[in-house]
Amino acid sequence: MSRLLPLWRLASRWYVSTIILGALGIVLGSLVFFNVWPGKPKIGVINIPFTVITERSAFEISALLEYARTEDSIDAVVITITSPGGGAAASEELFFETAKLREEKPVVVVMNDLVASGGYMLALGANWIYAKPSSFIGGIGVILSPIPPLIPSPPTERDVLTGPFKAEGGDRRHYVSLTDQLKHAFAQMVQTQRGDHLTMPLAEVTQGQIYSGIQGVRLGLVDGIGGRSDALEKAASLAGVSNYDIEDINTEVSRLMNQKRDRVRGSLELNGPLASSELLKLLIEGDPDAARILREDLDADVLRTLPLPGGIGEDPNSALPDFPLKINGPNAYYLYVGPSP
Amino acid sequence: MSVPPRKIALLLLLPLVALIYFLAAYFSYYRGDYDAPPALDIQFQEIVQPASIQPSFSEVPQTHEGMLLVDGSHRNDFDQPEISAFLAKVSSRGYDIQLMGEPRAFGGFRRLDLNDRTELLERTLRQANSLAVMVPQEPYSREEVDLVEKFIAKGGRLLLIGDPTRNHQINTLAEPFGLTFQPGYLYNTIEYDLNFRNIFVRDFRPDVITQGLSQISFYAGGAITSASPGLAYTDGNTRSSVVERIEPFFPIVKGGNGQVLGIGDLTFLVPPQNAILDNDRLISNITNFLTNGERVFDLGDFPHFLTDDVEILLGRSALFDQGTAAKTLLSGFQIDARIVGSEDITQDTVYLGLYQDASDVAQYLEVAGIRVDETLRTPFTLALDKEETGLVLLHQGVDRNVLIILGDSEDSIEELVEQLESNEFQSGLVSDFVGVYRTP
Repeated sequence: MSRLLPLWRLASRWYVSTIILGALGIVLGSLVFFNVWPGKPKIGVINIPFTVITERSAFEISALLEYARTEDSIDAVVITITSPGGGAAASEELFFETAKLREEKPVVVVMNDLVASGGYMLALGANWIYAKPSSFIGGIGVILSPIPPLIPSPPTERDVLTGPFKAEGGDRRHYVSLTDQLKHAFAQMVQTQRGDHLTMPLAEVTQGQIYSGIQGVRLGLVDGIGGRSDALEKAASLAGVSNYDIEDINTEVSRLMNQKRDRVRGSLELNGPLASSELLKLLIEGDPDAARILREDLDADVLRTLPLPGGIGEDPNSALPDFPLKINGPNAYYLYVGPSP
Repeated sequence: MSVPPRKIALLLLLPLVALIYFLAAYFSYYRGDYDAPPALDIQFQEIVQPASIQPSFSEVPQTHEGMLLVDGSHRNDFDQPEISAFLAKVSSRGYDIQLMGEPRAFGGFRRLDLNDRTELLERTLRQANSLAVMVPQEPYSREEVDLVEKFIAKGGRLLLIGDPTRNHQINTLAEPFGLTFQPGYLYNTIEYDLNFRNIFVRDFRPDVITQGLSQISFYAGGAITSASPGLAYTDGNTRSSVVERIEPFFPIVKGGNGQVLGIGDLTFLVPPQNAILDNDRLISNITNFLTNGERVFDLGDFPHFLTDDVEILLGRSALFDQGTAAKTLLSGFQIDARIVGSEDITQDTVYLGLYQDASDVAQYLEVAGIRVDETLRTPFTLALDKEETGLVLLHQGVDRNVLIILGDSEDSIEELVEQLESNEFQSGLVSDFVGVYRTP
């Protein structure tokens, strides 16, 4: 103790105390800033490698967008994407989710090889779009398939329908007309999102043509030529932040999802991957533990990703094996099927 | 007890430095606010579904006797229900319809061997007044084209329909008549019927085909080029999927001296497209074109120049068996024939006789320039020894036809009847109305 006395005396001197307290103040300030609020700014990066937008992939991408939106520490988002588009509703879902994210944080999209149709629709929800000179972009339009033939077969006498269109949903012209509606809806999205940037008539936009990134800038379909670094700088600039960190949202969301799955798996005390059928079986048998798992540990997000037999995500024809009519209704696609760069 | 000011200052120093650091860090990292754009406001509800226009069109068609032959022997890429509206209009004009080929249970037609196909075409064209060839997937052979050209030369009418959305080899038959169906489809992204491939056609040249038309719609129709100007042409906004130039395209044209009609779309015939705009009227006009022709039947068309009710006149009673054979032969073509003892000049007649009986039909032979004496002479042959020969002559009067079959013996007559049945008589034709045969 006596050995610390000289140190105490030294610290008691005002100029030494000032230095110590100042240093402590810096430590306290940095602790609060970096660990309590607001922390070092972060730009979240979502990477969407070549992806055909389906209900399932849209769900996964939505989870990334939702994380980016709800995670307060993320100040801006950069999305790198390669996609020829895909299902119409799934693509629209991603457009709405991206636009929702944009209402809270700046979103910058970087287009890689191919961003067409539904993929381009997603990009429309961003504040700023970069493309590479060689990116293939555009392909704005709709494919509806398969639609009924010009003369559809009448239902057999074994099937009772309550209206002429109950089985097919409408005749061929009806579906052709619906396709035109969807095209106009897509055109509206382009018009409202690109607005004055567009330098070509809307009728030309909806021809479904693919453009290079260079043409895309000239036509106003994208804002500039650039890569990931440009996108990060642009996102930082839009968010008003600097000296930011980068957070890989894909990795973070995967980590969280795996944690949830591990928790469920552990609760079920099952070896190997989670067998949703076993969970259902337990539920049907009235196992109280299964009910608790479902109530407490299995949140809706995890449940939605599970392929449940006879239910979510199953082929409709095998889900209703006794149904006499083939379930093969038309699906709308914002999809490009041509060559890639 | 008062605290010395230095101690107070020291106590405040820590939070002050912490605050200064915090603010410095904050303004270093956060230099502004994000100016978020307004929430999405897209007026999807303002997108309206275009209405289909289906004007009413009624007609009282004139009826004519005749037969439309519909080609199904070239694996034609259509199903019968697709053209049912068109065929109904043909029937309503009194025409019979014969489908050439074998339909498959699940649509389309079976593939036929080239020889069978050619023989079928030759046989069926003999009785046809008009021919409809739609989206044939098999090419027409040179021999088949020759048959159709002869058919057109005899006043037959031909409808050729190609469709860019279906595989076809229509040009193998169209090009000999000066028509070429172009590849690619026509479209209009500015003004269209439900879809950019449903083009409107509003400009027409006066013709029986375009009579009364103001606006028609073709789904993915194709353009046709021909030496003569098209009957319908597209506007300045209509483009071709394969032609860069902006030019009027012709989806309806005529060729073959006006007897061949080419149309670059099939779907306008198919319900419900057939009832859109003036498509129904166009189908009626096409039907009128096909059923109003003046088809000339000659000897090569045996026996379709005869009516359904025919009298068989024998030069002598010894030819009764041959007369019965002729009656049986005609009944195979749904022609009622009966053997009579004297000629009724109001009835179509088949005359069977030996050269010695030629005086019975002298007036018909004289009109044809045929003399039967020591030798057999026709305007188309040298004088022939009558032995083991036979002659077939078709006399076409104003209201009736007379088929004359002469031979040097009863066996010759029998042989001639057999040749008529087996179609071998075609090889002995020396003109459109006269055939001379060796009957060993």
